[in-house]
Amino acid sequence: MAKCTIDGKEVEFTPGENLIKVAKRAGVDIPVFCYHPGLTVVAQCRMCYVEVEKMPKLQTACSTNAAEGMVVKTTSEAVKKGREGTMEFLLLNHPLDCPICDKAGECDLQDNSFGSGSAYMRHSEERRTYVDVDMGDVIQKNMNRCIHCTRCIRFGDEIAGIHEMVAIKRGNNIDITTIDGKQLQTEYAGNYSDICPTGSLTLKDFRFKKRAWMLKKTDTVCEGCSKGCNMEIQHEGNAIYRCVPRENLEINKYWMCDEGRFNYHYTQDPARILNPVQKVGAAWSKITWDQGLSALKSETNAVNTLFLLGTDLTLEEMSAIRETVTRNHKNAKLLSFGTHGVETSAQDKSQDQILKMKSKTSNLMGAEKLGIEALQGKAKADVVVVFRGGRAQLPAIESKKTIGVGVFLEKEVTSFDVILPGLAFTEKDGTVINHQGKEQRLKRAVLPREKCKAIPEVLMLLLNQKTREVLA
Amino acid sequence: MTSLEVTLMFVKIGIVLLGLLVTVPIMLFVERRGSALIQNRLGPNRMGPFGLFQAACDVIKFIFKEDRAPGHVNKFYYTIAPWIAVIPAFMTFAVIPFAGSLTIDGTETHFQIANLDVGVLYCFSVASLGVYGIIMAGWSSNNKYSLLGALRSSAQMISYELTLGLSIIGLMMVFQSVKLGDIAAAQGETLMQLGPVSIPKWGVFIQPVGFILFLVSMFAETNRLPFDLPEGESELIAGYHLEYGSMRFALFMMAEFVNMAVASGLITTLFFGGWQLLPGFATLVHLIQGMGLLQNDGLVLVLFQGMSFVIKLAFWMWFFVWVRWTLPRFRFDQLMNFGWKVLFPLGLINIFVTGILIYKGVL
Amino acid sequence: MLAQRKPGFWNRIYLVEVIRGLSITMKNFLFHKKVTLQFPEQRRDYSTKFRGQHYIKSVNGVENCTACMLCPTVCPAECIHIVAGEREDKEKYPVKFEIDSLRCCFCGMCEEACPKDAIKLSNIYEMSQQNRTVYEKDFLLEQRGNK
Repeated sequence: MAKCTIDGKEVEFTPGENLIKVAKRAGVDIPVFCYHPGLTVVAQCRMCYVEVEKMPKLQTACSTNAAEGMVVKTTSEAVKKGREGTMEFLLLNHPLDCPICDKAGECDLQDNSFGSGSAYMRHSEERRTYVDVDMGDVIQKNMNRCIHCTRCIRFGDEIAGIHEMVAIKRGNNIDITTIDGKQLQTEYAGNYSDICPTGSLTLKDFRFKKRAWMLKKTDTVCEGCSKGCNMEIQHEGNAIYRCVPRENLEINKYWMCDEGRFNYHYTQDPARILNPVQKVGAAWSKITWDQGLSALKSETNAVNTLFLLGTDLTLEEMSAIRETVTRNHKNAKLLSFGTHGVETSAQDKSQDQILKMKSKTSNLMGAEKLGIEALQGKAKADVVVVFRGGRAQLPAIESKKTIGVGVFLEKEVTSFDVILPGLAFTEKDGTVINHQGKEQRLKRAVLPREKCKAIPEVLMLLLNQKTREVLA
Repeated sequence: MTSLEVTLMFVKIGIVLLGLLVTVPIMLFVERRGSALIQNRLGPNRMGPFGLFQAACDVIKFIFKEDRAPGHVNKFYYTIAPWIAVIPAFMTFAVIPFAGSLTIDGTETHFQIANLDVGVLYCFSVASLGVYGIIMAGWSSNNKYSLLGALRSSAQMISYELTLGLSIIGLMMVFQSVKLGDIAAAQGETLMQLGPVSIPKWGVFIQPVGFILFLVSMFAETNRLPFDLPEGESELIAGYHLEYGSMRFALFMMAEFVNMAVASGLITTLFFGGWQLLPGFATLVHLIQGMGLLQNDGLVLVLFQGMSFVIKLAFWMWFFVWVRWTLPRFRFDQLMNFGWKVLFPLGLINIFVTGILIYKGVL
Repeated sequence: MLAQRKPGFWNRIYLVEVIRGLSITMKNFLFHKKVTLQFPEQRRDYSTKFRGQHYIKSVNGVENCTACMLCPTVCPAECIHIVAGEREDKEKYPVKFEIDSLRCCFCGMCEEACPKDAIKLSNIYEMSQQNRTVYEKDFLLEQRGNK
C-alpha cells in the first residue's frame, strides 16, 4: 500500500484520499472551515495549510491528495505563519460576540483561533454589518459572523437537493443568503446549523436555551422513521435541549432530517400523560398503578381481546408483550400497528430519496422479524389494549373498552378508558432494527418522569399481584 | 429571747441574704467584664453605664427562657438538684461574722447570724452538702458527660476537703477556738511592731502555709479554675449542668457565686482579720465619731467594720476571677496527685510545726 | 524534636510562677490597649479587593450582563442560575439571574470570568439573613459600588 509521511509518522493511504483524512489517521488534526467530509472540496477558507516537501508554496490539505513518498509538515513555522495570517483575515469582520452566540463552545472559529490564531489584533477599522433576513422557522441567520466557507451552499446543492443558499456580491461585500431572500424550503434545514463553522446559522429551536458546553451527550438512534439515523441527544438536568446527527456512513452519513431532529419535543409535551389515569365522563382522573393494573388485568380476561403493539417499541418490549400475550391470553389476538398505509417492510420505501422513509416508526422490521402480523384497517374487539412507544399512528378503534400502555398525548386518546404511562425513546434502552435490517441500540438519555414505567415492568407487575401491592 | 433580739436576728438574716443575692449579678458582671479586660477585649458595655445593666439583662433572660427538661432525665432528682446545690451555699454564711458587736438598749449583738460552738466545722459540713447537688444533677441528667463531671466533682471534693480541714487546724491551735467570732476577734491584737507599722495578728501572718493550703483547697471546693474539672468545657462540654437551662442553670451559677462569696468570707475571717478594721480606718472612725454625726458611737464602728469586711471579701472575690483568667485547668491526674501527694503531707507538716512552735512558746 | 526542659526549684514550687502570671494578667487588665472594635460605630477598613455582596453592573439602566453563562460555568459552588432571553434593543439578556447567597463561597471566579464586566462583588459585608436567600435580578441590579 502507498505510504506518505505526516509530521514524521508514516501513514498508509488509498489513492485519492486527501491529506486531511490521512493526517487524521496519523493522529494529526488539521484545522478546517470550508472542508467537510460529506461535501465537495472547494479549498476556499485557506485554513488547512500544510507544507509539502518539494512544493514551493503551502498547500491546502483538503485539496491535496496524498501521494507516494509525500512528506508533509503541519507544524512548521511557515504553516503556523500561514494559518495565523488566514485566521487574522477571517477575524477581520467577525464580531466578538461569543458571550451571546449559541455556537460558542462548539465553534470551529473559536477552536481554530485558539489553536492557530494570534492573541492580538492589528485591525482597528470598523467591521462590516448586515441586516439579516428571516430564514424560516428552523434557522436564525446572523451574517455578521459569517466567514463565507460556503458549506451551507454546498450542503443545499449536494445533499438536500435544493440549491437555495447563494453567495451574492463580491469581496468584502459578499452576502451568503437565500435566493431572493426566500425562506428555507428544505426539510433538512437543521443541518445548516450543524455544518456552519461559526454562529451564522443557528437553530431557532435552541436559541439561547443552553450553552453548548453545559450539555451532556448521549448517543442513541432516531425513532422518527425506519431509517434509524444515528443521533446524539444533548440534555441537562433531565431535560433534552436538542438532538444532533451522529456520523454513520452506512445509514445517515452526517445528516438528519428536521422531523427527526425535533421529534423529541413530544416527550416533553405538557399534554403527555405521565400518571396512570382513568376516563371519568369526559375528563381524566388520576388513579394508582395498582388500580390501573387491576383494571388492565380484569378487562383482558374478557373473551374477545385484541392486543395492539406499536412498531415504535423496541425489540425487547415487543418480545415481552408477545410472551405475555401468548402465555396468559391464549384467545387474544396480537397485531402491530405503525404508519397508515405502510403495513409491511416491502411497502416501506424512501420518501424523498435522501433520508426519510415512509414508515414513520423505527422498528417495523423488528415487528416483522418477531412474526407479529400487522393490523389491517379498523381494530375491532370487545377490549383493545394498545402498547405504544409514542410515535406509531393510532388506528381507528372500535371497542367497548380501550386501554393504552405507553406514551400518549391527551388529545390523541379521547376514546380511551385507561392509560398507563410508559417510557419514550429518550428514557429507555433497547434495540431497534432499521429498514436495512441493521440492529441499533437506543440509550437512555433522561430519567423517566413522574410515574412512568417501562413496559416490561408493567407486564411483570401485571403477572405478580404481590409485587404490585408492595410497590403500590 | 426578747423581741429586740428577734428583730435583730431577722435584720441580720436579711442583710446576709440580700448581700449574697446582690453578689450574684455583681459577680456576673465582674466576671464578664473582668475576663474581657484581662484578655484585652472590652466585654459587654452596651447596657447602661459601663454595661452595668448587662447583669440585669442576663437575669431577665434566664427568667424568661423556656424551662424545659430533656425526656431522658430522672425528673425528681433533676428538679431538686439545683436547689440542693444552692441552699447549702447560702446556709454556710450563717456562721461568718461580718462585723463586731453592738450594744443597743443594753443588749449586746454579735453581727453573725449564728455564733455556733462548732463554728468553722459547721461551715465545712454544710458546704460539703453542696456536692450532693452536683452529683444528683450529673446522675439524673442521664448523660455521659454530666455523670463524668459529677464523678470528678465528688472525687475532687473529698480529696480537697481533707486538706481544707488540715489547713486550719494549725490556726485553731493558735487561737484555741473553732468559733469564727472568737477567731475574728482574736485577730485584732498586734503581732509585732515594726517601727511605725504595726502588724496585726492576722491568720495569714501566723499561718502562711496554712493560708496557702486553705486558699488552694477552697478553689478546689468551689470548683473554680484551675480546678473546674466537673465543668471542663473542653472535655465534658459543660459537665454536670449540661442538660440544664434557664433558671435551673442560673441556680447552679448562683450556687457557684455564693460559694465563692462564702469562700472569700472564710478566707477573710480566718486569715485576714475578718471584720477587723483595715489599716487607716481606725483614724477615720475616730474622725467621724468626733464629728458626732451619729448618736451611737458603736454604730459608726460597726459600719466601718462591716465595710472592712466587705472590702476584704470583695478583694478575694475578685481574686477568684483573677485566678480564673490567669491559670489553665489541671488535668485530673495532676489534680489528684497535687491533692494527695503535695497538699495533704504539707498540711500534716504544718500542724506538726505549729505544734512545736506553740510548745516552744513562739506562737 | 521535643525539647526536654527541667523545671527549676522555683518553677516546681509553682507559687512564684502563679504570682508572676497573676501580675501579667493584672497588667493586661489595667494597662493594655483593648483591641475590641465597636462594630456599628467603628468599622474596619477592608481592602478594595474585598469580595462581598454581589451586584450586576448596569450602564444607563441596562445591565451589562448578556447571559453568556460563563459565571454559572465557572462557579465552583453552582450558585448562579441564569435564564437567557431575547430583547428588542439587545440580542441576549438574562430574564432570570439568581444567586443563592447561602451556596455562594465568594471566591470571585464569576467576576473574573465575566467577559462583559457585569457581575461584581462589592465591598458590602453585612449580609446576614433570617432565612435562605436567593438574590433575584432586581436586587442584584442595585449598584453597590464602582468596581
